[in-house]
Amino acid sequence: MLSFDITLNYKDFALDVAQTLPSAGVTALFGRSGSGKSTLLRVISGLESHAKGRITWGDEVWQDATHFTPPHKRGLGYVFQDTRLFPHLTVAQNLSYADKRARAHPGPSMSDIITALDLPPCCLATPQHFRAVKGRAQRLAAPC
Amino acid sequence: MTFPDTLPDLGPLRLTLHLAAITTILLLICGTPLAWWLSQTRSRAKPIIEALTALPLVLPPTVLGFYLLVLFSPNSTFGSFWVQVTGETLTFSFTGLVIASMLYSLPFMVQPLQSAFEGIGRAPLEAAASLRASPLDRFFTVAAPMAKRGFLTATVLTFTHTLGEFGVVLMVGGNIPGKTKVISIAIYEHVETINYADAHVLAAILLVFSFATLLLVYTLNRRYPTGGRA
Repeated sequence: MLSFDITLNYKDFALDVAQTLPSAGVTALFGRSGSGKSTLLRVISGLESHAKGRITWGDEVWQDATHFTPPHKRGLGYVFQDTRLFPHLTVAQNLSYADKRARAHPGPSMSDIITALDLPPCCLATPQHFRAVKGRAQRLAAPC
Repeated sequence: MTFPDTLPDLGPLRLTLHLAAITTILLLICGTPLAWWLSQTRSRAKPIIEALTALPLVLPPTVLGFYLLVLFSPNSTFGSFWVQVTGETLTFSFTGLVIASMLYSLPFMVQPLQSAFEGIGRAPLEAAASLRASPLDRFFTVAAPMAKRGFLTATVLTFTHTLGEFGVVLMVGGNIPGKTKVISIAIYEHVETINYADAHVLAAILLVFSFATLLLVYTLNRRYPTGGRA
């Protein structure tokens, strides 16, 4: 179960949400453009260091008044809206960047991902080349 | 213009290369964390640190040299502490020159690195963080390779700028052969003693070397316009 009760104040924007979400299944978040959907996801991920409040994941406290778990220790996957591939790495290296750091944690193997995404054997190319084929970069960034 | 049959004493050239190499390596080690901090921080102290870092760009080298001379003097707190610890004075020593050069060339290391780090933006680092990369991991696997061009520029500018150091060295190091007599001082001395032939050789070496290095950097930067592949 994911629980949060957070506030985040910027000059012309304020986010104030409290909610508890189930840990299983798919939860969708609706809202008008600019209502703070992405910001909320960033707060949950630990990418907004100015957010105040409390976030817990099961028994783990990710954030409260005295404690802040940094994003790399939360074990969350985040599919960014913009495809954030590392431009200095090849497509294969982009995949293995995630794979290397996830070895201690259960999940699909890299070959499973390559098969599931139906990635052509051009995996050695750089993202710049890859991006030429529309949609592929997004698919690639998703599991990364 | 006449060239001498024999080359002038190349000791100053060797000393200068040695000084520039050590200064560049030490500044890479000290300047990188500073540049990284400046690129990431939202601290209020940032403008102060930035201004201090840029100071050697606008300050006359003699002013910097003067203050360093006062600081290095065995009569000062720092200077006497140094003598107690190492048994040597910092003034008119090679170590003193290294410290002076590091301050003198600091902006040439920090500024290109800082703008390279800032150019990366938060996005790739956030993506790496969401893939369980720790801050140090993110620096070495994402920030540093993406700032490759900045590292190249910073290293070369620091090195070539230290090669041409004159005022600071004169104030802090004097003119001791094999210890503090760098190439620009040797040139000055040759000119003062109307030994234009030797001055020509040393000046030409410095000119050609500096031009060749800069040409190499700009050529490489042209070839890897987006930072290249790591």
